[in-house]
Amino acid sequence: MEDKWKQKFKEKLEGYQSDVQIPLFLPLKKHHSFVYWLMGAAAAAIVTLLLWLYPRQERHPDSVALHSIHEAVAEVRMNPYQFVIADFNLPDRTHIKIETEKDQDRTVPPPQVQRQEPTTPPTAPGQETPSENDTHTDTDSESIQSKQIIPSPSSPAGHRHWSMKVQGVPRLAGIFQEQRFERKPGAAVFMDSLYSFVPPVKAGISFMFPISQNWSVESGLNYSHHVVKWQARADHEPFSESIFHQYFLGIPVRINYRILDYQQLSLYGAIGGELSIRLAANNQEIHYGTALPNRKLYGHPLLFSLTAGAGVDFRFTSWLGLYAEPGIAWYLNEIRDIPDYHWRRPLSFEITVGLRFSL
Amino acid sequence: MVPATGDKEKELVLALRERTEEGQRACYEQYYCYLTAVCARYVPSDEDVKDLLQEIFIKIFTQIDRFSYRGPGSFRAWCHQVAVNESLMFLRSRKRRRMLSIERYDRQSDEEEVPDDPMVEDIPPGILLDLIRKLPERYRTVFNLYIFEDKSHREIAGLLHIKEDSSASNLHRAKALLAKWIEAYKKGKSHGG
Repeated sequence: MEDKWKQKFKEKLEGYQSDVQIPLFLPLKKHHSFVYWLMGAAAAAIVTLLLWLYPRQERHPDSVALHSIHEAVAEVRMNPYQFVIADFNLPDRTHIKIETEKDQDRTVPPPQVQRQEPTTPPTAPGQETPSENDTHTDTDSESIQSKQIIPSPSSPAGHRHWSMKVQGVPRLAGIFQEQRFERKPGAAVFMDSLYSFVPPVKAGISFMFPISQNWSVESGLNYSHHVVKWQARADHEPFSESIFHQYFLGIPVRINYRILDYQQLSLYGAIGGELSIRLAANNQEIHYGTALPNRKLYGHPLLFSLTAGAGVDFRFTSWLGLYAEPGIAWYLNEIRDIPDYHWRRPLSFEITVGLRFSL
Repeated sequence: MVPATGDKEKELVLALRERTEEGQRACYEQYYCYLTAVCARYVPSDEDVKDLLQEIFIKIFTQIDRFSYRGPGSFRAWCHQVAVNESLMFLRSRKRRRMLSIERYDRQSDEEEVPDDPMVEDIPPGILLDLIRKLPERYRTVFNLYIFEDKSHREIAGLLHIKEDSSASNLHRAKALLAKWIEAYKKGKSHGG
């Protein structure tokens, strides 16, 4: 016999429409959360700071605006006694070996730039000082051995340039599960719920600026995705599921110390912290196979963490390197409104891998 | 305004998928009163219902691609489900007040018998809705899910994270209270003439 309460209440109210005045319809407008403004401001601040700190190479007053090594060589050949500084980005200590027809086959180690002092007669008052190009040398056999391209005074030899890193933290740890009992085992219906905590993945970009020979500071932006699954089960059969997604933007700040350099390898240590803000979160629910629309969750809680690690950097070229940095992250607080991986793993082991570009 | 049926419903869905303002306006005007009644069963405050409805319509408009049309009435049923889900999430996310009044209801409701037939034929739908809204939140939610959403106590227990026994007892208490209020309403009406 059908429940009369169900039957009669449904008859009365199932299709019932409230007698209310319908408010004015306003079309949906895109609105940008303040978080996106915060992201933009943080990115602009980081870029501005780095540009302000970027060492500007001062141009030598005699420098020639040349665009290639070939132009530099041609310039030297035409004006062998002219002091040439090429102002294009060459790595430190680059030297060019230039041989004239009269050169012997000898290679001279990079000397300091030798400049031929012109012998000019003293000028009488009112007369112009002859230019350097008018200087005459009395030896045709003089050859140009090699000229050293003088690095910019603001970047002495051995000093690192600032660099950019593109990195990711892959998912290394496995998904761990936690079971909670709603009814004791042995009862007529065994009910429990199962949480599956998925380790977050992270990707980001950061900028590193040297402050001394071995020390450097680093900051940037990281993006991470957290997932937790929840199942309600009766007799081990799930009848209700929820999948919680969270998306975080993190701003790391770190100090790096270069411990050891050996050929193309570097060993370094790093310590710092990260502030992450949740950009968005949603909850996908499935009840007996029926997927409901994702429910957006509100709130932008913050996550604070301390990080420490030691890494190895392998330089393929002077401007490109690959690095791997195992380390630990300790999360000082936790997300409260929905389940999160760091509830149960406040201290986690991570390996960051990435590419480093020296700029 | 009466919700669309049959071909009109299908046309409405197509218009919503194209994200046209006209389609969204038509959906809003056709389903506002119906979804208000659905939410009002779960959320007693009219202001909260208005806020919820804004979220519900945003959800319907932005996630219409997740809906697949399966015949007349399927879109209405989907909107209904969205409204119920949003109402439950709203109740779950709200801070719970100390429900001291529940204890008084609990003691009284357990002692009373619940009639098999609620005898609501003479009660206007609006009055019935008001009586449901008067129920304490815990009883009201279980009552709505059991009576209108056809959920079993096992399903209700999973949705609300309560025990199955609690779901059954809350339903019994809700029925007992409603039966008492229905009787009081009828007596008051008969005395009033």
